[in-house]
Amino acid sequence: MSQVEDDVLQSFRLKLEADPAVAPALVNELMDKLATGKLDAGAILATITELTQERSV
Amino acid sequence: MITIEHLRIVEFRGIRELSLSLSSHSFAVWGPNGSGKSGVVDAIDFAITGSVSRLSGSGSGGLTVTRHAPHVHSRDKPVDALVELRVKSTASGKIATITRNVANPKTYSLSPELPDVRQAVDRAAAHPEIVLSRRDIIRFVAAEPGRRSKEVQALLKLDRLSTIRSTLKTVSNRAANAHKEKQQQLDSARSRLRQHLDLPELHSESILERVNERRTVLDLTPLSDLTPSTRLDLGVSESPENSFNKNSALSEIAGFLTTFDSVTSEGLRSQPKLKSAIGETVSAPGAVAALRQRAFWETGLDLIEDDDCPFCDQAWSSQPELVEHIRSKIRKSDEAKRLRDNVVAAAQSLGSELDSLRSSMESIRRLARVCEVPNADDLLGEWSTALSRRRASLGAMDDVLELEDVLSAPAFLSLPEGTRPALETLSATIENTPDQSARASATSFLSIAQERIDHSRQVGRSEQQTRKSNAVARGLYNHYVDAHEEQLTRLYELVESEFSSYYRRINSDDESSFRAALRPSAGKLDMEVDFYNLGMFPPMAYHSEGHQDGMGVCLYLALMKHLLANDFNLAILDDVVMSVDSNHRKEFCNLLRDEFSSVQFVITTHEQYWAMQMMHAGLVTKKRQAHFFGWTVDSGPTVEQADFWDAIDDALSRDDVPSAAATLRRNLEAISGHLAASLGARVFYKQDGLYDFGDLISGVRERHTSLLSKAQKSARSWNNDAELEKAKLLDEQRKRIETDLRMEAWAVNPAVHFNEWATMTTGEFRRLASAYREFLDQFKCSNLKCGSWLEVVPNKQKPTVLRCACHTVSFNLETA
Repeated sequence: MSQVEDDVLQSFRLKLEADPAVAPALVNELMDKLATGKLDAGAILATITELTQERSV
Repeated sequence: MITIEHLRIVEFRGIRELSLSLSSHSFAVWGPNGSGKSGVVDAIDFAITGSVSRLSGSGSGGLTVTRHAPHVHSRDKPVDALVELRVKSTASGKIATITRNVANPKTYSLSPELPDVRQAVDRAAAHPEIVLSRRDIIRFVAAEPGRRSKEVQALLKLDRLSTIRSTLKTVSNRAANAHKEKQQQLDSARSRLRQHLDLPELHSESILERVNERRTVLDLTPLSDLTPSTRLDLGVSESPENSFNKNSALSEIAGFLTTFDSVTSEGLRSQPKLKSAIGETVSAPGAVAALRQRAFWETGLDLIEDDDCPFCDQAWSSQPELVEHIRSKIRKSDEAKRLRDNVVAAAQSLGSELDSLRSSMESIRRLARVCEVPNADDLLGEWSTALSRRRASLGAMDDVLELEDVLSAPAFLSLPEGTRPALETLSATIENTPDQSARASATSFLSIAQERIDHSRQVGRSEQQTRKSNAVARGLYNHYVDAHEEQLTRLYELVESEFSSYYRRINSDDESSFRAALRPSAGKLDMEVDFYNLGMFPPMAYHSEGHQDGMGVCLYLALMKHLLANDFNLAILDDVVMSVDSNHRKEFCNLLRDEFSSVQFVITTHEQYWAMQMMHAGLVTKKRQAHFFGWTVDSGPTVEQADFWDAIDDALSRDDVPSAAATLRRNLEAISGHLAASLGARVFYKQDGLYDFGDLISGVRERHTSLLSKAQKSARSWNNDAELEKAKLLDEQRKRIETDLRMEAWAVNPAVHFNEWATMTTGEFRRLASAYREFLDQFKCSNLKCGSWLEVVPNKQKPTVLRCACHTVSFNLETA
């Protein structure tokens, strides 16, 4: 991971963590996916749906 | 990251066998064009990355490492071609030797096998941009903005950031589409509830008013509040199967007939949109095939777990390289993906319309059964089944694409013949049915109201869930875009500032107020530069080729600083900035020396003079340079690594005075030129620019005398006795050397042609060389680790300091 990539992802994480609408578990799950390069839109949307649902409950 | 301790090349490119000792210090490789210098660059490139950038990329058609990296005489024996690179991990300081053989370029051996050194080597391999050639720097400066953006993005490894952005955009779009679909379903459900309640708008008060009217008829307690769990039919006994509200039924069937006439004559609203989207997709050349390939590549991308390709099971040199290779294939089908997204969105809309239509049919079928009009029930049932099959065919892309021909035809709706007459019969039957009792009507009304409000609530919950997911997905994308923009803006501002600063330093004599502007915008990176305070222009507009080269290197250095930060420890500069004139190259050396002191530069040049400038500036030491010359196919380059005084001594030890004389002459000319520039000596101007030693040395001697005098005058004015003593000492030394030189006057007289030297005896020439060595040494720093030539700073009309690179010598020239 380049320095620039690292900077952008760190900044992204901070913004997500500061957003009350985003569940902390989603932040961790998403950042793990980004770090490991598993960029599958379907999987990310499924995670959002699952964790947003849990948060609603 | 790594630095290079030692390099050994065997049967590689134009080199048969060569060893260079770099000891993790900057190193200069100089020699004329065609002397084999680039073989050193290729060898380092190969040892670290397993490939040779010169043999890849555009313009290298058909060249491969295995076939073309070995020396031409070993082209059929790649196993004989290898490079050994002893490297030091800058993090741990540990040293190990990489050995990479052309026969098996993807792997390398490391001896000893030290994990942290291997990690450092692999990190260096992920940054092939540490090797920079002139054709590379032109890409940053002379490229059009779109191309420049790609080049800079590739250098800064921003491709993955773009992929993340694109993926999050897809997530956001899909979430938005899912929400839109649910919204449409909710609108439909509410519309049917509103229709049943005969209300223009759905408000709690008006719903309760309508419901309580019926509850009163049934002697049920009126509802006072409408909550998500309120049952409208609370207390109503099981409604009789055959009861219905006549007016509501007539209103419902009239509404259905209107919808029926509309869809049977004009089709569903989304039909033309889907037909158009399908038409655009199937008519785009190769789009359908590209979509299938994209699905194939995307599946493969998900399966990558290590360096092995999931398609062919072959090992790649690194997982990121494999991932990037597959992503590049996926990117080629981006246009096809856009077309696919349009088709999917239109198919979703059509699916929602079909759902809504089938839902309305079920209510009508219930009326048909109650009113005993079986023909209407059967035909609607048949139609519903047909529409259900259509609905299912909207799920898979291949099935959707096959619908193009039927979308505009009535056949798409598969309407059974006789449906409308059957509906009219049903309507007439209801019309002729005597109005049921108010209680039956109320029961029916409340049952249907309950069923429809249940459906609305269920769809409403789904809509709420998709709305939240959509908001989160949109939030993720927006946060990412903000983070991306903020960081890149900050990065480009820093790069812009440092790039400008580096360039100003190199060109301080004529562009001291230079500034540059880097403006990223929608896939482009605009760059404008100041031209002598006359405005901002593209770099190629008015600046010379040499200045553009300087900009390219400065931009490269600024970018590398941000790409690698503290890991920027190694850079191989292959004949770059050759168009920059000598004075600016000197400043370039100073820039590398001062601003990038932790970077080991390996620099090739075809100019000896620049190699000397590097040494004089203290960028490389005299031991850290190699002179390449006399290349032949059979033997490769001849390489000379010794100091030129050693070369003279060596020649004299063989009584080879002509060779020693030629070496001394060549070096005196080069050094005197450098000293004239660095000390600001007055030299008689020659239009042809061809100065010989005699043209330069007088001015240098006068200038040296004058500077030492100024240093003493300055020290006196500041009452700096220590400085005064040092300056006096140097001045006395100068006078003594001048006296010694006069003793050799006949030999050092510039008027005497250098050819005369060749006739001297070995002893005579040794004394001459010794006198010159002492003469030249007075212009050098006595610190052996420095050894740089003295220079005045700033190099303008009124210099303020006379100093060496390490500041061991540093005289103030200004008086109090």
